[in-house]
Amino acid sequence: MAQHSPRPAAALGTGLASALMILTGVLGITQGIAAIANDDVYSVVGKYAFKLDVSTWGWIHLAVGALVLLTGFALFTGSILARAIGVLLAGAVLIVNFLDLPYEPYWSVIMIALNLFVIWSLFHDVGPDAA
Amino acid sequence: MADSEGPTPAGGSASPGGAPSSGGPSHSGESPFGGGWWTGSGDSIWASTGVNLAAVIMVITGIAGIVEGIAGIAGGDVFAKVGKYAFKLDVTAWGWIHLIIGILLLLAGIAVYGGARWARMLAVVLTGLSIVANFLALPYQPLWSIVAIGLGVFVIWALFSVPDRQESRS
Repeated sequence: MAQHSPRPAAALGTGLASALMILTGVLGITQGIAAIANDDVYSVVGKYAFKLDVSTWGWIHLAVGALVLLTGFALFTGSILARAIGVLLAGAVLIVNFLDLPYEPYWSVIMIALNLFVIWSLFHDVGPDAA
Repeated sequence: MADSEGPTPAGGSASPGGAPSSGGPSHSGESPFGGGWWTGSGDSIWASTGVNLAAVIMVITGIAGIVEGIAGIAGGDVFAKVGKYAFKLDVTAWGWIHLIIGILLLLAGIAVYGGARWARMLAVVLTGLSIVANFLALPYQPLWSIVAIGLGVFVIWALFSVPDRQESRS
């Protein structure tokens, strides 16, 4: 549709994915900060195959969250590479949240749903700027 | 590859609210309603469905936030006691945050109804803020936060699924 109109905002073709990744990046970072601070909102988990120190999970969330945030901004350039990295990162965040779900189930459930949506949006150009 | 296959706005299959709008505009260039204020440039009226959806859900989300805020400010036993927490605030403080963001969302939702592009961009940012605030306040009342986050995500999707007004459909 509308191949004729010049669109300065053509790079926003993945606008939804960008917005969602920036959002999940920020959420992951806050999730990480809360864990690194060893907060009481995290439940105490007994024996668990993927048991890590809550601080360790926190650093993982923080680091991956920062990468997701950066990738979200990189998506504005319309780069295919950024999209591929976005899919990989969103998949990684999803798995990390699945593994550490026993510590804060609600946050993990939200993050899993959001990242599924991110992956979906990376494969679909939604909206006015879809080129 | 996704570029070539994904030119259908509003993502056809995966859009409960946008589905009716995706079929309409491409075929019916001539709208019986002509070009009113709701259509920037003689678009089909269906093109505004996406805006209306986003606006209505934003207003609802705003009201939900306001209610959440009032409940927090009034103080009550519906909020869990939270121990050590990096983002610990008084329940009243969270209440004010919810209330203010809720009011802004309500106003932005009304602005989105006007169809301006800046209003949509502002709406995306505000809705994002609302989601972050609810994520942080989640330990106090998880289910409210989950509902508010779900609504917010739906709003963002709807805002990006709006067909552009400047687009010429010929």
